[in-house]
Amino acid sequence: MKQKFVKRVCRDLGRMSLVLIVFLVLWQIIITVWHISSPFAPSPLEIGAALSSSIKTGELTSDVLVSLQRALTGFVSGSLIGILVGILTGRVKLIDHTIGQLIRLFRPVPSIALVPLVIVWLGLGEIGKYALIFWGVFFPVWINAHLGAAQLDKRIMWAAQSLGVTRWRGLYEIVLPSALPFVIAGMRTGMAVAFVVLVAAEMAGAFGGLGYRIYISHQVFRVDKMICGIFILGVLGAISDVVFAAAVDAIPWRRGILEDSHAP
Amino acid sequence: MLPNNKSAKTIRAKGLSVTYVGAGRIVPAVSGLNFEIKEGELACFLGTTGCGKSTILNVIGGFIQPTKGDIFVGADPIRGPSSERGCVFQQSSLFSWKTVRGNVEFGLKMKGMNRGKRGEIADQYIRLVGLAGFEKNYPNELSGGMQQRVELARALANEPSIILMDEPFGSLDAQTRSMMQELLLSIWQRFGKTIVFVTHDVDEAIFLADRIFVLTARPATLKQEVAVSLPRPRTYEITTSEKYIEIKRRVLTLIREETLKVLGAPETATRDN
Repeated sequence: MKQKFVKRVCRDLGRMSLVLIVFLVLWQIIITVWHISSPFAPSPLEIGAALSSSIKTGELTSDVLVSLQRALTGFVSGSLIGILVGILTGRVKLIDHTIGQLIRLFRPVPSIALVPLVIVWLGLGEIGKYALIFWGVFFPVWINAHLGAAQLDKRIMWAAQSLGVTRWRGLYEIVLPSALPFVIAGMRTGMAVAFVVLVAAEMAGAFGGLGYRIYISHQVFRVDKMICGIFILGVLGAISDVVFAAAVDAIPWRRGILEDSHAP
Repeated sequence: MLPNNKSAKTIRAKGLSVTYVGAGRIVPAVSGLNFEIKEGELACFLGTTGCGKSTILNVIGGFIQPTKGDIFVGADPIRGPSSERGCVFQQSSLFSWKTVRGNVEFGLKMKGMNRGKRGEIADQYIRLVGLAGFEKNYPNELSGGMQQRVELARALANEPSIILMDEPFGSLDAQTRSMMQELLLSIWQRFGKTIVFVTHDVDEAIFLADRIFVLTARPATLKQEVAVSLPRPRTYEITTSEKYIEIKRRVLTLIREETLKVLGAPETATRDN
């Protein structure tokens, strides 16, 4: 199971890198052949130079670490709370009619719309970033956990009850594992949302991070550095997505529950 | 089976009625049903599709509450699901995220038995239903017949006194189904549990049961009780015996009347009769 997971991640990342290299080479060729050279349209080689110089100064590493910490903190907390609340609203009517309704009320609000408000309330520090990303991640995870919990065949619950499971233990023993494929799909969406919100929050006001770097580079017309940041964000997003796809695949009982096009 | 005089675990229903309310419609599923199933008995509810026979089983299981009437096990009214009453459903209700062993030992885990001991007991029941070697497989890796064996093993391993079976072999092919019926009989004869079996298959009911409760079309009431006085142990050869044919003719007539009521086609009825 673990081996399959690692193999799958390596395979997918390998394929992606290959395509990326071909893409960059073609881009470079086009720029070289047609002599398109402008500070506003840097070539891959120029971007590479900007990348290596920002690695040397330590700027890139610190930006990546700061951004990753924000994204992960918001993602993990949003996922955990999303799963917990989703299981509860999916199975307990009273909770669904109260907390569930409240969540449905807030769900349509795009988290980016909250950025200015969060800055007023929580300032430019880390807590504000965590809160925004938490907000963005919570909803897709919640709705999927909720649907996964609600779709459970009543016969499976009955079978479990006739084997002596109690209501609350059933949530953990039966509802959570049966909702897991849904939960993972929700977390995958949540991860993508986390990056969107991260960048929006960092651009609106921060003292570091990839979004901040892109924004600051824009102020001084350093298009090469902007593309550098965009590129790193793309790579991070792609890696996390591949990891999730592989995680779904590694569930040994997933066949017949979740069919996706990635099946080998 | 030895008759049990204590009748401590007799299942009794008095005036049992269940009415479903949904989508602005009131659907009576069971109406004024009376029956008594003795401890250790293998009783079948036989009825046409959609007659409400599964509802009866779900009431005995404690999964749904009767709208009217009473249902008892011994002297205790049934108020909810209990590990005293194991279940086997038609569509696999196995825990797809657990292995065969994980499924079979689940009830024992709920009782707080330690991992080693419950695994040992689970493996005994897995062997009993002929699935030794499949302990670590997941349900989706097994055929339909094997999945039903796991269901049976899971219900048995928890050692309930009553096992409720809702058309458990309904989705299996004919050969597998008859193998499963023989397996069920051998297990029942060995453990002497009360089995309440719901089916629409006349042959299945006669082959298995001590007594058949033939039900009317929806809402289900008792049409007639048929005692199956065929000798035990039974094998498939019994299905061609004179006595069997006689019972089958009688039961078929009863069921046919109800089926025609549902279909509501008088011309067809006269022509066929």
